[in-house]
Amino acid sequence: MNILGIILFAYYASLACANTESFIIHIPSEFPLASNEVPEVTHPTISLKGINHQTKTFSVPVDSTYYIELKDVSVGENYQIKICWTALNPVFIDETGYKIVPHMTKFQDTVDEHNARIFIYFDVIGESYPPLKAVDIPINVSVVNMKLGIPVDLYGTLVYISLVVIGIYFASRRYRVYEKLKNN
Amino acid sequence: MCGEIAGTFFFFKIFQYVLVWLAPTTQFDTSTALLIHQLSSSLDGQSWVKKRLWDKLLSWDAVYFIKNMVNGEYEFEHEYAFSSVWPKFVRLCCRGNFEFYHILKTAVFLENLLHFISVILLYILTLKTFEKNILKTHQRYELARKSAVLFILTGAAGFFTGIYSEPLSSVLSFAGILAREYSIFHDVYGNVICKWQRWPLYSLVSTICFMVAFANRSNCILLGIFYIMDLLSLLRRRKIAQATFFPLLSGIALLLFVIFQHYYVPYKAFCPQRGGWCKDKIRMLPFTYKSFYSYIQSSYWNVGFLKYWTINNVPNFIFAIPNIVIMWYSSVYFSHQYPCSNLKPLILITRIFLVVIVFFAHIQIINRVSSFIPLHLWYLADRLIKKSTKKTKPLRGDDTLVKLYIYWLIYWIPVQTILFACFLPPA
Repeated sequence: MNILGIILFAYYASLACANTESFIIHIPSEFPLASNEVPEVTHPTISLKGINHQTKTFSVPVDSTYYIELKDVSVGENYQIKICWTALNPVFIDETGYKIVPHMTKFQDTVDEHNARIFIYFDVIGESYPPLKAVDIPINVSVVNMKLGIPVDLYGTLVYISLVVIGIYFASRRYRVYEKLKNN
Repeated sequence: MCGEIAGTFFFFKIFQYVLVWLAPTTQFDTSTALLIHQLSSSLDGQSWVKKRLWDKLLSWDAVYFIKNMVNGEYEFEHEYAFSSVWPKFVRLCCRGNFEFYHILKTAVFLENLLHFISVILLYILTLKTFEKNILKTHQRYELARKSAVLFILTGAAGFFTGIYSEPLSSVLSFAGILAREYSIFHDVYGNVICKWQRWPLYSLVSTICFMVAFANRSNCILLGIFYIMDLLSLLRRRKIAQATFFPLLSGIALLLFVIFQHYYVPYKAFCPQRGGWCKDKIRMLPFTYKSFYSYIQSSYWNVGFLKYWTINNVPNFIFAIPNIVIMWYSSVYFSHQYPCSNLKPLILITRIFLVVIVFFAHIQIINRVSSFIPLHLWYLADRLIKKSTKKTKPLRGDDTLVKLYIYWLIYWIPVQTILFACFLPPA
């Protein structure tokens, strides 16, 4: 099943799905863990405290770069960042990436004196005629821990597909659909 | 016979909806919730059934259809790539109740109903098409039954559980081809002869069906090849009156409708203030050189010659291979092994369709958009019948191909249904 999962994920990762952009980030092992000081909230955030995947909706301004701070991620882990928007809002997502900001370092006029910070960013560009009227559009951003090279939120689907395929294999051996189509 | 087909259809659809129901509610593309939040009123509420079933049917292009069904009009130019006929039809059937989930449920019901009607039409069309061919009567009925069953088990799979426009095109395409078949016959040399008393069937019914099929799905423009081939056949034998009042009249009507739909309507809607594609105007006429449809397909979906031939699209080519192979072989089969003069236009339509899909389009869409062509279904059904009469011989050539295709369908249909419900590619 893992091989099937990895193949499927490689396919999905390589595709520019209509309204989904995704990329993978690796949290370096030397990334400092959060200090005991309460971190300052300077940007929109997604926290993975006690969970391995999280999806949040943000109201994102069109034609601008948007930054989201990731909190409570684990060092040495890979995460899939998935940005989804509805086709009702004709935009495309460009310039995706992430940035590690050490503590005491200024970033967008903000400084966290105690904690290093991780930001993901993306550009939202309007692409339509007539131009999109909305100033902000809702965008779902997901941060998903990856295990064995597969985002953990895909495991349920992969298990389900695998079970159905196995079921069909046994059902088709028993009921012989081809023979039935041929002879009946 | 109808009962048996209806039973198979019902069982198959139940099976598909059970697969959708059991699929995880966490979709790969999480935007459906945003869509519902934007289009649905706060009064709709969220229930378990909606989350487990209805919401999962809003994947991929369903977004554009549901938007048009709810709003009743296009908002942006790229939305013109999607049929307005199908949303209008659904709105008509909603009888003034445009609540989001009422529209969705009506559309899903109509989708299934249209699929079923197209299956029945295919059954009748098969009987009519092979009326004068070498099949014995019981084999003709067998061919019709098998073709109908194979169209229920379509490779379009999950898409036909949702609110896509293809089943409407299948109905109109099969109805149009059937109307044409009833209004002509072929002489011993395979030449077309039009029956004057059935002129309305040809020039009204089939033309209107093809026009609406085209308005609904642009690939149905290929159905105009029926008129071109009929025209050539009649002109070769100097049947000027028949050529004028049957295929020429129908062909011109279809052509004018294409110009109206793809050139005039968008020009009136967007030009000259749009700039860009509006600038390539043909002298004083309210048209541009470039088709609006080609423009939006190219600009918004990167459709064009060999544009889809990239390494990351290799899996999409693999998904498309079974239908490409089976459609190509069907055209070869009915040209050489089992030549039928009345299938010549359909053979040409199939081949041109394949060239367009392989070299210009997003190739994986062949699995659903090929549903307006019945040739490959007849090929599969005919080989299944022929094989059933030669039970002892081992499988060879065409029969191996057919067996592999059926096995592919057995796995593809459930898997694709789940992928669709989980908002996963291929689209």
